[in-house]
Amino acid sequence: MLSPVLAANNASVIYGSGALATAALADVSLTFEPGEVSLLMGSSGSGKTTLLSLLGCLRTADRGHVTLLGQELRGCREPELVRLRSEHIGFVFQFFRLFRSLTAVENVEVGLEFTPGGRGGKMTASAALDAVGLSTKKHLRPEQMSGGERQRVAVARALAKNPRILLADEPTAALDSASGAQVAELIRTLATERGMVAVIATHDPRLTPFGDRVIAMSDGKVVSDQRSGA
Amino acid sequence: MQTGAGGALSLAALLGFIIGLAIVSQTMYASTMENLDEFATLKALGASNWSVRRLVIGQSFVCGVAGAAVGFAAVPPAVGLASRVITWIVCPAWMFAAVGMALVFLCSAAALLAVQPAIRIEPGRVFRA
Repeated sequence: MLSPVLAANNASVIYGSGALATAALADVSLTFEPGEVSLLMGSSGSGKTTLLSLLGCLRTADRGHVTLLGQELRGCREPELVRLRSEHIGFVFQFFRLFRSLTAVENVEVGLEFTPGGRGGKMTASAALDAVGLSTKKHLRPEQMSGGERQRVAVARALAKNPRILLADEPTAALDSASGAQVAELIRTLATERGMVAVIATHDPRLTPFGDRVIAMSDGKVVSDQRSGA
Repeated sequence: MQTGAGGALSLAALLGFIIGLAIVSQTMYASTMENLDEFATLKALGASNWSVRRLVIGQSFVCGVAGAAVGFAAVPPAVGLASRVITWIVCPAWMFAAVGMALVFLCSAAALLAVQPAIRIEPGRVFRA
């Protein structure tokens, strides 16, 4: 049997120790399929971001297991986590996290800088911006763009390296409804076309139509996991 | 005749080097602290600690080379003015090379001191508002 692209098995993250220990994530077990858009939903403090950090190789589980492309992450040293992030994972952040002094195309190139081989450099960066509909805005700086356009640059940066996994943290929280819907639709389309695992952490119920699956979290636990049409 | 002037000048040069190191590393440190979010973003995007070190050392060299260019350009006229008062003053060409090498060392040391917060920053910080 093929191992899943990304999976968590009884994964827990615990902050503090002894009587002060708090489980930010408690025995979470999930498997993510290519081409599927999963929405992690829940209120602030429900564990969405901690789970994204685990899935994105930004930290490792204190208990349980997380596997990426069959590789167990627990026990991985930082250089190995860095390699996995640079090769396989694209991130989209709530507040874009673009570099202010760089143009759109340069921001995308920065994402490629740390990818083995650079995967095409400027051509790929330029193509990624074409894919998100920013062909005419490649040489603008973030301050010259709207919030929706900035987030599309961030999506292009994440996608330029052809990641197997796209992780987005509240990608529409800083956007108006129309821009948010455009960005969510863009992520959904690109994830489906490229067969990526896409996981979006959000507390915005308006994103529900864009997900193939809705995972509800509360107090660090998965309280429901429903696929659309199921 | 032993005037002691050589020793005094050497001490002044050493003090200048230490003060320069402190100023450059403090400036680089402040710049690093101001941009911790950017460094966290780079690390989340896949930058290794070595990449972050290279970046900060590169910044340090750009600052160092810019400063040295101004300093080196100011040396000949300064020597010309000073020689009116101190007739035995000399500034041989090898001194520029020696200062250049000291500059490389100073920039590297300052950058390695200043980069520590960026090395320690957790990439997971990118998820915080």
